[in-house]
Amino acid sequence: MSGPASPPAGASPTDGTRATGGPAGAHLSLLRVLGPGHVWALGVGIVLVGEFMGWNFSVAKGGALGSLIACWVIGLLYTCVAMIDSEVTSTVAAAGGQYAQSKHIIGPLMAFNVGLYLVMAYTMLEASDALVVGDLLKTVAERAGAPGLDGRPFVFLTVAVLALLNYRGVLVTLNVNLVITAIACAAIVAMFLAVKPWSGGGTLLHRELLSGLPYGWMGVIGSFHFGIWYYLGIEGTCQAAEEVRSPPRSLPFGTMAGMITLLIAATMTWYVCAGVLPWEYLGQAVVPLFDAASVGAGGGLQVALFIGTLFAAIASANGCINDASRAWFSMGRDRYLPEWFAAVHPRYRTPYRAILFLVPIAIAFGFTGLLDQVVTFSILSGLLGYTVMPLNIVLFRRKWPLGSIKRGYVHPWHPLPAVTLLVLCSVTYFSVYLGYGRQLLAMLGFYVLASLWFTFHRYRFVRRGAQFTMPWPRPKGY
Amino acid sequence: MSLWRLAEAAAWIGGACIFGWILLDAWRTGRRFDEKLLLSSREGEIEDRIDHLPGPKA
Repeated sequence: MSGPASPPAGASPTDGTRATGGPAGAHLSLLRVLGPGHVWALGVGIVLVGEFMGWNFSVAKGGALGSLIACWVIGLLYTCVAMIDSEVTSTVAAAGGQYAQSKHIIGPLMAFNVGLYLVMAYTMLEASDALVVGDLLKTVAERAGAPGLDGRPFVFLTVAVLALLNYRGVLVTLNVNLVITAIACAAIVAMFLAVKPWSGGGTLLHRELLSGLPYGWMGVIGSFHFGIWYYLGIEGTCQAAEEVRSPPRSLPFGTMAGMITLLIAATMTWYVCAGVLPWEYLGQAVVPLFDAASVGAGGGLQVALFIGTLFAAIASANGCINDASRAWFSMGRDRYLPEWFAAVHPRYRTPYRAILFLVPIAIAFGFTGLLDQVVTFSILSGLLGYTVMPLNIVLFRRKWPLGSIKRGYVHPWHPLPAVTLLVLCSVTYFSVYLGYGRQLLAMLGFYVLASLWFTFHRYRFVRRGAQFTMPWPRPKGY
Repeated sequence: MSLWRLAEAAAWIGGACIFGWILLDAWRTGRRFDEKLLLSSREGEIEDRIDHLPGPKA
């Protein structure tokens, strides 16, 4: 792990006075220190907690088979997201990810909204992860004979420690994520191997436990809402775009490898849990993989699954702090938000004010204890972001056709992934509406109000010309 | 006081210390360095990174 970066020449105050801008051209920037492994750890780290808990609520909606259909259909949705993101971000390699994409390709109002979706999605997910850590420790205390433990101090400590990590450098942050995400993945693989799927019998009882579609195809559609848990956050890899050594190579590779990992991990998780636990129980379990380990494996594996769950929640919160702060920082840099947020720490080279500002918000939501509401806010914000992507890629290909600018990666079969993504997003909105219609409408109202604030107040501060930084030719048709 | 209650108190104190340190460092950094320098980052420069790829120059 690297130590803190040195400030650029002219940036360090040596005589007790305030350092100025230093020699002509001296400027601070985020550090380009990450590789494809870190991109993988960022994406998978954010998501993997969804394999340990949350996905199983889809079983309550559509039965075990319905959940498997949701796993693969939503997997297709996210594969489209990963393909589109990989192409655009390998070209628009800037912090802010989808925000920077929308800014260059669509326009300022859309970019503002996308930036806000990203910040809300990651901050709410971070709050949920911290809540999960608190709940896990409460459960341990209860089992150890100390009921009534207050989860809030652990929510606070988790967010504070991870904020410190993020504050002090991106390399150490994502090195930690790489290690704990790998351990959490290994716990899932160990669980899969422990039930001996090749032995054809014994612990796994798929034939007896799979009961068709208890609520028909409407139940399957209803299960799409929670199917998002299997993959929510993989698009977060784009936020590392300004800090990877080779964006055209690392971003597509890390994102695709992450998506493949998640598809395999999600299927393995479903296979083990659906073969061990009856769907009526699985649909309302808090920690389904841990419960499956309790039924289908020994004590050692239970400990491994507990550690895996804890590490997955911590990795997710860690990645979310990283991603939310990058989006907030890049919006500040373009003055979509007060420019004060665009400061880079001269020593650690992190967007330290953005990190600091979002910490109390995450803690406040974590203290509510309303896990399902907070996660639903995160899911809906993410879903709104995915809906913009088809428009993004269609306009990107139309304004800058293949061959007109250099792309690190070109996704195949355009516009099929864009159309598929749009259709699947529409179906998923319907699914969310079935369960959380009021929250969906309330959240849309929130974004409309934020858009009005941006249009009538904030837009006059935006650096209209300076915000477009890509050295691209004039768009086709302009 | 049980070990769990101690852990609760330690978590409050530990979290507050860490958050306090971050706040202090952010405040000191703001005082020690010129605001123009802190806000001087530029959006990702990518073209130099993909020059080796085949295709026309932008």
